[in-house]
Amino acid sequence: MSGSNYTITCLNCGTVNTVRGKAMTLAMTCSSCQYYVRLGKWNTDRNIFGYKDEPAIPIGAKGKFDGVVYEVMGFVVKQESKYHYKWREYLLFNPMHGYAFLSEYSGNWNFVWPVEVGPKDNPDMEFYYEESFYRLYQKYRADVIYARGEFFFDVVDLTASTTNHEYIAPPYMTTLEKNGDSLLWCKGEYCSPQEVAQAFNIPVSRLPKKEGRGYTQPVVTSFKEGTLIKASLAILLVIIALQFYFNSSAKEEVVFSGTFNQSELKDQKFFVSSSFDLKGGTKSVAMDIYAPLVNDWFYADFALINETTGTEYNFSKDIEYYSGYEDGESWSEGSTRGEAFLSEIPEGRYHINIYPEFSVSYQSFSIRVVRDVSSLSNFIVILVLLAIFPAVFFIRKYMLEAKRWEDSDYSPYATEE
Amino acid sequence: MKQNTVYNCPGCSTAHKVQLNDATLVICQVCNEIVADNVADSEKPKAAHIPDDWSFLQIGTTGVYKEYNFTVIGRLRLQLRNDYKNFWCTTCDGGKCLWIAESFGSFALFTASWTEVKNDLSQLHAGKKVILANNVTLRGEYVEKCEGISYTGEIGPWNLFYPGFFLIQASNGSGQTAFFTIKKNNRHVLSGQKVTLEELNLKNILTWDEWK
Repeated sequence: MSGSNYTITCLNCGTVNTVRGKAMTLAMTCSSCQYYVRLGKWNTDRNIFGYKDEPAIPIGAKGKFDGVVYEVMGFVVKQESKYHYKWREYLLFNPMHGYAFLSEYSGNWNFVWPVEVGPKDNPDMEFYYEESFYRLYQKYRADVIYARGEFFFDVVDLTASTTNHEYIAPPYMTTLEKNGDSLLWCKGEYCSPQEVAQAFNIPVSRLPKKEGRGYTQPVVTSFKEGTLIKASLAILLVIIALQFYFNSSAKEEVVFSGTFNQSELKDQKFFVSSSFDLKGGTKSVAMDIYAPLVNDWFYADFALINETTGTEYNFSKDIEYYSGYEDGESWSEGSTRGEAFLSEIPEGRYHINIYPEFSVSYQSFSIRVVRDVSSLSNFIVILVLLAIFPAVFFIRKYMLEAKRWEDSDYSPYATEE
Repeated sequence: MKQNTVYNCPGCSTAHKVQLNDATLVICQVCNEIVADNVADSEKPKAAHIPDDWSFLQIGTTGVYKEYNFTVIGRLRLQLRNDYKNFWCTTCDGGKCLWIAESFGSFALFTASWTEVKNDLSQLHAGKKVILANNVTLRGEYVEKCEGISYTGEIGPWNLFYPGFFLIQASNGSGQTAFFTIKKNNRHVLSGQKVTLEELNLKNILTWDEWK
């Protein structure tokens, strides 16, 4: 069964209009004179609008959302009362599922439908509803400045008499339209222009050009935020476990220790340590250098030399330590100790050549060589590398979210000026 | 009107057998004449043809909700200022009346009957609380004035057959809902449960091909 033989004669121009919504239609515009007329008994006022717009989706077009076919019954342009921005709404209808709305602002679309049970009777700034966290995005009043087609309620008077609250949890939104006589909760979901065009089987080029990011448009990534957090935590746990394993299995064997005095140098420019063996394959070596300084410095270049292959591992160390008493407080700066860490040193027989630079006051230092030492540095480097991607992800998300809320009077990202 | 009594339509002589054990009104589906009624003189109904709309329930539609197997035997349509509301009268359990309220894909089912309300309901507006006799708290969803009323088939217990009264629906987060009718000091409530279309398991409904 289909079609409609239900007709209404326009009280303004006498044109006989076929009423697609039959007795469900309570307001409509005349196809001839474009007057907006109410079909009820309580109000026979007629309106003509001083503004005109063309619906991108024609009245009568059918589109499928979530498997349900809806027909476009009416089209309105609304204007917000305070900031005067405009947006467009399409009234959709399906006999079994009732009505829904498709709203469009700057080429960004939301599919909105009434819900039986709303989030809260007295909404706050934020709340949980159907497992999503919603925040108040906008509270406004509006007027219909243009209407075309049919409506199941007096869209002009109803819009003018209600206060609207919009809460968002992208890609979802909930709206509350409220006045003394009615309270209507709706839920909405962001639709891309491609989805809208596909639903109505029209080219996307017929739709208004998308500008900016829709306020319910989700931040799209190829993975979920929760997945990223879980994966990062899993990798972190693996790294901690590996670090714990290396720490517990490190032998930390002292293979050489000695003290060197400037007086022993004589005509030589450098010290040569006695030979020592590094065993157990390729492993780390740590060198602790101690210079008993006070308000002085010590510097040396070191060369760890494999006596079989001649391979040298060079590093330098600068040790400074200063302390004093000033304005009733003691202070100190620097350290009398330094440490060098060489991560992969093959086994073999080694000695160290040390090229020191002494100050005037102090002329001695000692060195201790430890084989197979665990290191925090690799752990820290991996941690930093691991943190880069999530950090970039969340910083980008924060910036996009802050931008989303730029047009809201209730932005959680707003800073006091 | 006694259940199983057969009345002949005064307009077209079609025979009508009363199915409810508490029917208030029988309207001829053929010629829309009033066949029989059990209404006080002050509210005596007049023949009121139901306007053409896109409702998909019809007399003869059957359904199952929990333990209730029901069949639609009558329809009462309220034209409200900014909405409409169909009260589908169904029979189940050999003559019990069960109402299904419907509009725009929203459904509520009522196994209880209308009962009189003694409390003052003048403060019941959208968003305001009301506590039912069974201590269930509801909140007003809308207040609408009835602009038109029409009916067909067999109608169960119903009080108001002329427009001008106020209809209020109030509900809570558990889906409990109630309709209130207010006409001066005449206040009644019908309490029940919101249900989904799927939960009603309807059969023999109208199929509007254009929306397939």
